[in-house]
Amino acid sequence: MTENAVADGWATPPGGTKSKARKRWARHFLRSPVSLVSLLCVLGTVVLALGADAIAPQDPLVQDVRDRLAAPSWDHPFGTDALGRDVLSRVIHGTRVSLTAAVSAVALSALLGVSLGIIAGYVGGLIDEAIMRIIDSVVAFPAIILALAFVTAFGATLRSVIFAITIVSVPLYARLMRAQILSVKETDFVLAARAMGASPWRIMVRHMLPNVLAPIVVAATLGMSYAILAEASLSFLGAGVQPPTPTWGGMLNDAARYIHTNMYMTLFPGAAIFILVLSLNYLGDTLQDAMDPRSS
Amino acid sequence: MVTIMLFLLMSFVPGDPITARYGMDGSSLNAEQEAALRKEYGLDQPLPVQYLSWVRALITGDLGDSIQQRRSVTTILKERIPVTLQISGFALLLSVVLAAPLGVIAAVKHNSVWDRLLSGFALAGVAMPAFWLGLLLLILFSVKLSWFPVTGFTRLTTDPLEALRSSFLPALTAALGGTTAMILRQLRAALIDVMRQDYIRTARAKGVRARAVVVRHGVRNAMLPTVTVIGLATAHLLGGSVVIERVFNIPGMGRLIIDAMNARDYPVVQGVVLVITVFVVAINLVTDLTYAYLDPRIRLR
Repeated sequence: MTENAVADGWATPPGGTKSKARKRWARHFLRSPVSLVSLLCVLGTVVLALGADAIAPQDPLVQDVRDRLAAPSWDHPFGTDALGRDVLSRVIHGTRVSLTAAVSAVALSALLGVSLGIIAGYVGGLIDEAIMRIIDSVVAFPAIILALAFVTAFGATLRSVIFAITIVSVPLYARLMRAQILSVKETDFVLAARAMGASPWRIMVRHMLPNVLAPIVVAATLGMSYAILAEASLSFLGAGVQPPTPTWGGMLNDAARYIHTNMYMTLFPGAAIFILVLSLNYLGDTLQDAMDPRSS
Repeated sequence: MVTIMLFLLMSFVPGDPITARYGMDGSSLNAEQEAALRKEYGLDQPLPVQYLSWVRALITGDLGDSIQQRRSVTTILKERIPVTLQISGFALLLSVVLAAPLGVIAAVKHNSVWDRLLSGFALAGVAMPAFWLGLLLLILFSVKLSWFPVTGFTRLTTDPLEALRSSFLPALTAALGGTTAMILRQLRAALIDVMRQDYIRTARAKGVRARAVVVRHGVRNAMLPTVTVIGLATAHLLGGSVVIERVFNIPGMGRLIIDAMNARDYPVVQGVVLVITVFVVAINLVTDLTYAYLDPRIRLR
């Protein structure tokens, strides 16, 4: 669904210079308070991740057995967990795993997906057929189980989590890119480049890529939210970055055992995931609107 | 294809079922006993041989024996499949029942307050991690209000009423945490698109009542892309069962595959993967057939 919408929005490249485009984007963000709030939430999360050590009120790993499973208080605004660790500090430090995993997975999968999509779309024929078959078979299988199998096979480390999310995300970018390439393949500027004797490599990278990159930016924003959910799900299932490193999914996994005693343990890490993912989705939608020449 | 991929993947796992069951240090077993056990389960064979013998047995309907549970994988799957289907089926029903009227309202009252509210609801549904929603629902309805059991699962065949009660929260979680929103967004987009078509204007001009225009001319045509999404949603539910069954402690296929992966119980992992693959293929087939049924143009071809 997103793919179609994106493709529609970019059917005709918008004219205008870069500064004009930038102004239009800025207008889009300012016009909608929700988008602005989303942007602030995402930026805020990045700040939390970078400055976690300075911002978090306590060490996220320090245990205090006398103060276990406490409800929110002035000392612990989000309460404490089963080992007496400060939940607020753990939520703040949890941004690190989430963002690192999501940013790396999105970068890797976009790079890989875009390359595969360009090759499949431009070269066509048997290579196209082969690439798309493999991608179809990845898509056909429930992503979470594939990712889970991958992490089980290669060990529950940040690196395998990133690769697992990459593998299940690549098809999105590859399909989108292929569709985009097919739509510009027969345009006059590509024909002109070919007539002038440009190499296929040059045509792909210099002429096609810049013209079809915008939808990829939107897809990557939405892909971030998908990656954050995926990382949290894996951690929740115990197949993510291992304790004691705080992860939002892992915190919820702990919290599931204490729903009778301390509901706050469940409330805050989940809310963090929810707000970040929701913000990224909103940002993606806003970007998509901003890039759609018909909407301005 | 998928089975080969997973077979290869599982072979990278450090440690095998024997070490997983008897401890990594191998202190409880001497080398000879270990070798004998490996031989019994065919783990001493090279990988392609293991795979081929698995496929050969599969053709006769034999999925091998679980190394952990010492029972045949087919028997275990027979217990687990109905559980997952009960929850997923219920969840699918809930999603469609919720999404259909809401999607129509959002599309017909396009750009109204209702539309905005529903779109916001859909966006929230997509962003909501299912396990968080599940825990929140558990806290609210089971712990605070005691309307539903906290854990435990009843089969439809043993006690239908209790089964509905025990599967309601898991199904609601699965529905609200994704699939309802998926279907709602697609139906809304498709219906808005359809309502702009000329034949809708023609129908209105003929004096067809507004409700009939929407239902008979609009929804019928908007169903096509929606059916595809319902198919996707069903596959999504099967994958999501891994998370849902963990939250609600339900003994279905999702729990089975996690336990089997942790125990390196390859025959069980392979069995679950096979079943899920078969289901996904079946879902795609049903989607295509429904498509043909709904759109006579496809049938003629």
